[in-house]
Formats: sequence, structure tokens, C-alpha cells
Amino acid sequence: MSINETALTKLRLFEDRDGGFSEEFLSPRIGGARTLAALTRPSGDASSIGWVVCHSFGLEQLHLTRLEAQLARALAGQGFPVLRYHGQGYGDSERGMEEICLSSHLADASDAVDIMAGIEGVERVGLIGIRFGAAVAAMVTERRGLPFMVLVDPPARGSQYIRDFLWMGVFAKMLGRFDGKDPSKSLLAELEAKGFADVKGFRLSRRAFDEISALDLTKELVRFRGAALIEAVTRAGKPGPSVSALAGHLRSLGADCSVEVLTDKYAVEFGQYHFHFLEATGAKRDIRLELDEAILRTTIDWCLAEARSEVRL
Amino acid sequence: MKEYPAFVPFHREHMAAVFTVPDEAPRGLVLLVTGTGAVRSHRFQMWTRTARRLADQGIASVRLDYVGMGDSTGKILDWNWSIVPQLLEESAAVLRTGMDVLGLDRVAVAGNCLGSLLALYVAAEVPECVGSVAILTPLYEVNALTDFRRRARQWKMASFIKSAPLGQRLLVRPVRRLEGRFNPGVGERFGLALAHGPMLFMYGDQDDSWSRRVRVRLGELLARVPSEYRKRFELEVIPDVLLSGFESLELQRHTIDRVVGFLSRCFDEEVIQLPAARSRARLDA
Repeated sequence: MSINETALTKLRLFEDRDGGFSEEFLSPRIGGARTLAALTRPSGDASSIGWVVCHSFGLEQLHLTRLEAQLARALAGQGFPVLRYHGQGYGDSERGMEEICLSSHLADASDAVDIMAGIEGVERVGLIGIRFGAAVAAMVTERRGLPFMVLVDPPARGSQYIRDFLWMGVFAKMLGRFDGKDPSKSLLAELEAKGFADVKGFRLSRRAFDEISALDLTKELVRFRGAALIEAVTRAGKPGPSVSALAGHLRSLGADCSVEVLTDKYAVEFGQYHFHFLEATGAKRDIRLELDEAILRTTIDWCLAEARSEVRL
Repeated sequence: MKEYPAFVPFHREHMAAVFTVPDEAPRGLVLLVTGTGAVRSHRFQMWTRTARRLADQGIASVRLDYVGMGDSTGKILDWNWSIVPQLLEESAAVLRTGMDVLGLDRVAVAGNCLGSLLALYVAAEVPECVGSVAILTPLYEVNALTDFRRRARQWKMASFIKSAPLGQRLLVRPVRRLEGRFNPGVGERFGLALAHGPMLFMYGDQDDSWSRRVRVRLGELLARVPSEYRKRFELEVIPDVLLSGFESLELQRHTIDRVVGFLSRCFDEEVIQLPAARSRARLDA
């Protein structure tokens, strides 16, 4: 066998001249083991602010990958280096699902911050997270004393998030053979007895359940005084109470917090499988394209504005 | 084992892919493809785990994001059967790149849902292909009725109606007649794929893509294949489960074991008997 290592090395990177960026696959150690990351850099002059994208939990990680890739490329096209990565237990990471918990997400994100901080020309690192990734981004921003965070549809309370997650499994069990027992109790009993539960194929560990249940961003964030953008994804056209409470809390700490409302009729499905069957054409259509565009626009505008205000200061 | 992430150029786009390569000289290369909306590692890292298990068996693999998905560039709006040729072209580009950079000339393929059609097409059309696994192959078009059937199957009333002769006559049979058209592409390629090597079809008996009609059709397809190739076909229908989505840890384990075991045998020298070109010529004749 003759592996063409030179060709494989060349394939790690591509450049998009029209988009004004290049992107390279890295194989760093994150969260204590090897994984895959993508570093997207501007082709021209780069900002001194580098962004790290923290991915979401469970299958949301998979369904939001494309949006995160587009976000990284659009930001790089505007001059920002951006790092994305697979946390342990996800995608192409070395370890499996049994590793996944809030602590693993936080450790992964913190290691990714170190990588971005080591990139030449990067002086400050900001975090971007979508859904559960937003909670991770907020906590790591707080713990590492970072100046910026962008939180897209953040779950202010982990208890609600994990309850919704469990109910997804409950719903699946109800669709299958219903044995007369309360399925939510059977999942909790499984967690107790085995230390993990099989939630629609996702191995939810007891540790993950406990850690996420205890998560409350208004308690976690106690000293952040940087700049934050919260993007509320909603059907109703106004931010939900948890977003308003989080924004109010951040302002009370002295943070410069902006809230942008993104209205979308599929808001409740954000982060989930996003292809709907169309009877007229017999095709499955991506229902998230408009919302993704809105998130890209909103995030880029804010990041550019923050970079400009940094320059003025 | 080593993993090489890559961006494979494809027209104006770049497809993200990961090559997993065993430490020893690989026996061959497996292409792992997904269905609608999934990224290369697949749900619950199914293809990542499969790739590493294949590497334990001395087999290299490549998993990819289609254009417009995951880390690949580009956009895709609608998914239906008409994009299968485009996905085939994308998958073939990644497969050829893998064969070139890894110096391999024996390949196999595994895919699920829409990806299973690709698996079948690659198995039929790539002369170097020695085996294939097609999980949840949609023999019939998905239409609005498929969606209705999916929901109706959960009703308690459904089993009652299906078990009653009147229910069969007035409801079940007429509804079946309205189901999607048979995909002729499957019929054309089924025999060619078997001529190249063994082929495994997997379903759960609760899946929309599985029905008695599918079993009958597979029997018909198999009957048209030269007898020496028939024994290359394996069908596994897992009882009482929905295989779609791999939504249980046990199903994931079983599927990975089955795919790895089957594909590993495909690369055994005693299984690779007929040169592909000869088999194709025999079929054409």
C-alpha cells in the first residue's frame, strides 16, 4: 500500500477566494483526546478577535453543523478567524457518547479557546453557541473571563432543556409499544438503575442528566461585564421570559447585552431535523434556510459592530 | 489506525470527508454514505464507529458530507429521488479520491435510506466494488401516503383493521395500491450489484420502507439474477423494531456488528471470485 500523505495533507485545506476565506481541518486534542476541528481564516487582513463556536447537545449538534459552518465562513469572510470542533462523544471525536455531559462540553470548549488564543494575531477570543452550545459558551466565557459572547436561542435553565430532551424519548416510546407504564418514569428508573438511559438512541448518562438539570445561567454568570448578543428564536415575535430574564441579569452585572428577535414559524423545531415532506413535489424540503440566513446576518452585523467599537476604543 | 480529514473538490464546491485507515496495509476501501439530512459521522457517530471497527478488520473507509450538508460547501434545498444521480456523482468523486490517495483498487459501500440507493448504484456501476450493504432501501417512492401510513401504524385500530378480512379488502389493499411507484433504478441495478459481490439488505419490520410488497418485489428481483449470484444476497429483517434513525443503543450495536462483519467478508479472497468486468459481460449477455 502506498498512501499519498502529501495529497492527503493538501486536502486538509481549501480556499474560497470569492468568499474571502480559507478553511483547514485540524486534529487537535480537545477534552483529553483527539478530535477534529476546522479553522476558518480570512484571506485578507484578520481581526484580532477570534471566535470559537460551541456546538449543541445530542442530535442538535448534528442538525446545526451546517449553520455553524456557514457562520464560520461568513465571519471569516468579514475578517474574523473562527474555530469549530467536535467535542468528545460527537462526530469524528476519538471518544464515544458515554463521555458526553455538561462538564465534557465545558472542558472541550475551554480547550478550544486555548487553541484559538494561540493563533497568530488573535488577541481576544469570543464564544458563539447555538441552543445548548449557547449555555456552554456563556459558562466558558464567564469562567475564562472572555470579553464577548453570542448566544443563539439559549436555554436559560438546564432543567427545562433536559426535560424536553427526555420527553422526546418518552414520545418515541409512546409511538412504539406502549406497555401501560409511564414512559418518563421508566427512563428515569433506567437512569437510576444503570447510570444511563437510552433516549431515542442517545446514551444519556446520569451525570449528564444531573449536571444539565442543575444548570441555571442566571446563577452561573456572576461577573461577566463584556459584550453579549442574545438571539431569541421565536414564533411569537417577542423574546420569551427566559431570554428576557437572562438579558436583564447580564445587564445587572454590567454587561452590554443586546437582544435580537428572530421570528420563524418553525421556531419550536430549531435544532431538530429540518427537512419537511412536501406533498406537492414529493420532496423533502429544508425548512431552516431562512432562519439560518437571519442568524448569519444578525451575528455578523453584531460582531462587526463590536470589532468597530473595539477599534474606536 | 489513522484518520485523515479532507476537503474533496467537486466542481465549484468542496466536500468534507474523513478517511479512516488501518495501521497495516488495508484490504480495501469502504464508502459510507448517509440518508437525508445526516452528516458524515451519522447519527450517534454510527459511521465513525463503523469506520473504526472496519479499521480493526484491516479495511480503510471514507465518510462524507454531501454538498450543502455538514462541513461541505454549497446549498441544497430539496431532497428527492431526482437528486440521487447528483449524490452518486459526489460520492463517486470522494471514492475515486480515496482510491487514488490510498492506492486501493477494491471497494465496498454501505448506506442507509437515500444512501442505500447510492450504495446499490455504486455497487452496480463501480467495477472495483466487491460488496454492498443497503439499509432501509426505499424500493417504492415516498409520498404523502407513506407519511400517513407512518402515523396510522401507531393507531391501536390499525392492527384490528389489518387482521379483519373486510378491513384488508376495503382499506389495506386499496391504500397499498396508492403507494409510491416502484423505483426502476433499483430493478436495473440489483443484478449488476450482485454480479460484483455480496449484497446485504437490512430493514426493521416496523419501518415504512419495509412491507410484504417489498419482500415480494425483492423475491422477483432475485429470481431474475443468474442462479450463481443469488446466494450472494442476504436479507435481514429485524423483528419488532424501527431501524430508521438507529434509535436504540442495541440497534446501533447490532447494525455496526452486522455491517462490519458482512463487509469484512466481502474482502476475503475466497469471496472475491469473479472479475467484475466478466460478471458484467455475463449479465449483459
